[in-house]
Amino acid sequence: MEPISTVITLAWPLLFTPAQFGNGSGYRQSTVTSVVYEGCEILPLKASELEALSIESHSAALDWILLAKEALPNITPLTPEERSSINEFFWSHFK
Amino acid sequence: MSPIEDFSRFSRIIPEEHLPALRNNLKRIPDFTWVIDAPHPDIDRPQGDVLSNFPTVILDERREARSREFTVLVLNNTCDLPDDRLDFISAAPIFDFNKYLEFERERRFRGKDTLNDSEKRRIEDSLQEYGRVLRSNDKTEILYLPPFSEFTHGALVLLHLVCSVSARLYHDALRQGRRVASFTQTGFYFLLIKLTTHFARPETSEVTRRPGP
Repeated sequence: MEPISTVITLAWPLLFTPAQFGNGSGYRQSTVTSVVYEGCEILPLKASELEALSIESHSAALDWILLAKEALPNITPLTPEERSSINEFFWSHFK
Repeated sequence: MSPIEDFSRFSRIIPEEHLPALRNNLKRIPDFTWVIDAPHPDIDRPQGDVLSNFPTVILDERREARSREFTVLVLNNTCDLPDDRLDFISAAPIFDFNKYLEFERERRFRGKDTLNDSEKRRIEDSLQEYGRVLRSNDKTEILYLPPFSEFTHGALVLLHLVCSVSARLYHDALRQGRRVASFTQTGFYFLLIKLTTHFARPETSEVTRRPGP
């Protein structure tokens, strides 16, 4: 039986998930408390389980945002000038 | 205790046994040498793997599809990459860090042949600062990777230029041994951090959505 947090990790909204956590093979296999993975498929949940997962996965997504903010506190989007530069560089490979 | 010290709360999203290593490696930023390594020897299709000579496509402003081979980073979840699981994979192109910086230097000095030394120094300093920001992974659209394989001065993954490519071409690349690198365990968490920042950072408070029915 695996903790709900593991389920949440695999269910967070972007689906960019730490899949290597599991059994060492790199692919998470079956047997989770309320969600059964067979070949990474997520099977239907009971309403109560879904509600719990919804609350927890929302919270987990916030945790990722919090972690990202702490890891990279100064991160910003490219400025228009920087974006123009990167895109010009990209297109230069097509000439 | 600084926030980065208190890692216990992240045990909901990262296995507890991986937290100390992640915390220590995040403290090493802007050193990112812990992020990427040789291709994983046992898992041949992990999320984030780097493939060489991979076909990509992008639709330009004239609606013309432009295709070219680049080294790419595979963004799909590991669980989605086995055979018969996906028809398309998502790939982000990767470029040599130094080549980009040289391109940008040439761009900044273009048409400025009459600059005096002071003005040249100011542009050069600004360029070096821009390079430092990129190498620190402080731009949301750009994932900086430390030196690996042919990218001896590091590489830039352009997360804003992701494209979809037939999974058959992905399988061909695997069969032809075109895997170049894999993320380490903590490096993989950093990839997720970067993707979170790019795709899922909070919207500005100026964005107010309708509550819905």
